[in-house]
Amino acid sequence: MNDLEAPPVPNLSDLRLSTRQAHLVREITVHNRDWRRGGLTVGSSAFVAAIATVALVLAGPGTANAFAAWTPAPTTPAPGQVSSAEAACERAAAQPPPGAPPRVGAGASQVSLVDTRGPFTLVLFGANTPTQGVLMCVSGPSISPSAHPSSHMSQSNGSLPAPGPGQLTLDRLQGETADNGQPYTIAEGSIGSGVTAATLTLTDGSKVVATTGNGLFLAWWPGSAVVTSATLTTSTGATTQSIISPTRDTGSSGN
Amino acid sequence: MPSFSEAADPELLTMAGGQPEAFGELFKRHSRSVYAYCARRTGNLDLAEDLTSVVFLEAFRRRRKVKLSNASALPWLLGVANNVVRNAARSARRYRSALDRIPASANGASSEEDALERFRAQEALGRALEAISTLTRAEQDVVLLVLWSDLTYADAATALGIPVGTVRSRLASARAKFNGSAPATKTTTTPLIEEAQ
Repeated sequence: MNDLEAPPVPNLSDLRLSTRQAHLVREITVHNRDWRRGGLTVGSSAFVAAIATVALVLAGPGTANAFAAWTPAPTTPAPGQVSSAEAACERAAAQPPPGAPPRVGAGASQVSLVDTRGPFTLVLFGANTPTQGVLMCVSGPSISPSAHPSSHMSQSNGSLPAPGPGQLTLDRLQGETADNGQPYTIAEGSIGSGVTAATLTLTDGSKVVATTGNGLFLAWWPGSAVVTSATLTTSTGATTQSIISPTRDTGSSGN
Repeated sequence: MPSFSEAADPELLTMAGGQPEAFGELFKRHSRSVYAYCARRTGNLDLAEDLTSVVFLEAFRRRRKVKLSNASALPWLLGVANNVVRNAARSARRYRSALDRIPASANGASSEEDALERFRAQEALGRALEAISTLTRAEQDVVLLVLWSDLTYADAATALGIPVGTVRSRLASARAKFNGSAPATKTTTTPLIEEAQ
């Protein structure tokens, strides 16, 4: 070589690149926490100004597919299911992960909304009351306990717009993974007056019926799809509202 | 919602947190350039493939800290690649488990003909790296980015986080040394490859 010309590099085949592309997307979706610096933490300020608590509890036995018993529409809770979920949340709140600040127990808060889908229970605590303790508790044989602030802390500070009549505001998408690496996504937000039901349409085309009440909605689903629209039912009929999803928060502090 | 293929790089970077497929589109667009850079930097094609994956994993981890000043994410990605290759051993340790999960079909030569082509290419890469080993590491950086990766001076400056004028002066210095008009002190490129392996 007698000049500074670039040496040739053989092209990678489309197959090899697409394999590595699929690997990258899968790593980002499923194994992000394995190599993310600092792991999963929640900012301490979230716990200082906290007002709401969300608990997701896996009540059933673990399976190869952690979400095999999940349903796209809410189900009627089994006897004792909700109280068990609340208790599991309090236990998780008492044992923060390494590095996380101490938490205020969820027991001091009122339950604002409960979403049950088969054996899974998602509980929103104290969203409408000035209480402490913002955390999302995940427990069960397939889901390790973890904690996240609810969007309603921010709403209390006036940073999130309230939805108009017949409208829905998607305040937060929380990305999580079960112990076996399967991702799932929790959506929470507010509904305007007159909304009696809400169905979310996701980027993969699937639909998830949300639980609504007290001016709030909750829903969650396996996978990392985000919301593209919501079909809202009011006394005058159903309307579809386009949704610009917030970034799916995976709880990262080091990214 | 626009399809990922229609979105600009900065949009894809913004969407990546909630939609990992958006980052997959960035990989699709720029992985060949990143791979070529890693191959020319290390002279090892197999290692370059794994480093390409590491570069994108590391770029995803850093995505919130970057504000693209360019319509293309490539200068930023090559800047990440420069750091990943420089610290290849550490990078490989961090992403070891992720690399272990790469399907076997994405590694190595796929045929005898492919193996021969890769062998010849690695020989050429080795000769090229030996040729530029008389340059300082900083000079090699601009040669790799401007002359071997076709970045503009401005994009190379973005990738390296240095002023455009510094890119120009380093490239001029590299050319002068290479043409024998300035004293050269041989620097080692080989240890970098050994560290990466």
